[in-house]
Amino acid sequence: MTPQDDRLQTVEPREVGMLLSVGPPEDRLRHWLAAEGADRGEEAETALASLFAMLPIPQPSAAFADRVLINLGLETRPAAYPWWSRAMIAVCLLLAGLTTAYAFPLIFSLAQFVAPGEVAGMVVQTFVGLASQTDELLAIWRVFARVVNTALLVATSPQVVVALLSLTVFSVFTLRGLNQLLSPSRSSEYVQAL
Amino acid sequence: MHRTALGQPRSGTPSPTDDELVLATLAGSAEAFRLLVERFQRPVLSVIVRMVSDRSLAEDLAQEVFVKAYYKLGLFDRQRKLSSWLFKIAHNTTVDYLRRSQLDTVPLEASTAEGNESWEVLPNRDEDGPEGRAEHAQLVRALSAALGRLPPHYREILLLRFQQGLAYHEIADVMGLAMGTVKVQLHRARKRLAAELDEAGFAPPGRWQENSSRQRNKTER
Repeated sequence: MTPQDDRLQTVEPREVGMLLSVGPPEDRLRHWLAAEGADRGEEAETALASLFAMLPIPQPSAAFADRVLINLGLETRPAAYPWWSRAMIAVCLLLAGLTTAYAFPLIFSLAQFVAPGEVAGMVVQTFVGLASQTDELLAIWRVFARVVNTALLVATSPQVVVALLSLTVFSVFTLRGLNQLLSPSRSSEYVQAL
Repeated sequence: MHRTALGQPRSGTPSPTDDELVLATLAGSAEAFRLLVERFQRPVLSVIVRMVSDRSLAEDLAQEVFVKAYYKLGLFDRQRKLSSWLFKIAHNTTVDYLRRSQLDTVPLEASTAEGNESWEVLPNRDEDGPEGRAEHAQLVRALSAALGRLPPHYREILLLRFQQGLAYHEIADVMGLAMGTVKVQLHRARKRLAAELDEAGFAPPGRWQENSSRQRNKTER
């Protein structure tokens, strides 16, 4: 639907006279300024109207009317994604949730092959070997060793560490997907509370 | 989303009048109100945008105007012109905002750069040629800039009169002024605009320059 109401956009100085519609812009300007300077009020108004007809009229954004209706609650926000993609994402999330619930035993069994303590030990040995070459590295190592010892106290078993890491990664991706799914494609601009 | 047939004219049938749309909106038709918004969004925005000199702010304020209009539509006197009533809401909304923000007059040159690409420039005549088009563009810029240097109430009265074509009594209603005051303000606004264009170097030689300083002194008194 195109904007209506040509009447408002057509300048019709109803109380003045005929609108000047011809003549290059400079002539219209000169005519107006001359009439204004000579205090010929009606003529000046007519001439000025023809100048104002040259001014650009801003076009509202394409969704202006939509936003008004959305702000009034007369229209629901259109979905960010088509229905079929939303259905697919919902199914995937459901499968992911179910899989996670039944995958915990699998995760714990896999964790037996990964011993964070052994990995940490290898890192320590490497660093000690390097640190023994310089005093500065040794100082840094002391701080690092304190931090790692504290962390290792918390993660007492490999199963717990792996499970925590897995859940963290999963939740990040899930929440991100849910956020994109639920976010509208347009947001309303400022509207002062009535 | 389905749209009703209201306001969707078949070829040759006239589009619904403002009164019909108002009545339909009051009866609960969202589509009728959408048509109202689409009909008046451009005039309302065109006045507000030159008042606040900020395109995105003007759209926000224009949104607010239509939201207020919807809630107050039951109070609208259908003997009046709907356009004047909307302009009145736009006037009150913009003036309230300007008072709250104590926005000084900002030259329009500062703001047109960001919004210019979406403004529709009215077409020049084909026979003007490239020089004519350049002249046209230069004058439009100068006129816009001069308008932007005026105080907001002068800008508004000029826009309502010469861009929107409102009669004196309608402007008086919109701005809450007496008709005599409208005429005086309009006269002063025109003189001030002419003085601004004169200072920008667009005055013709001779009589205007002799008169302009006299007029400027009168206006400023």
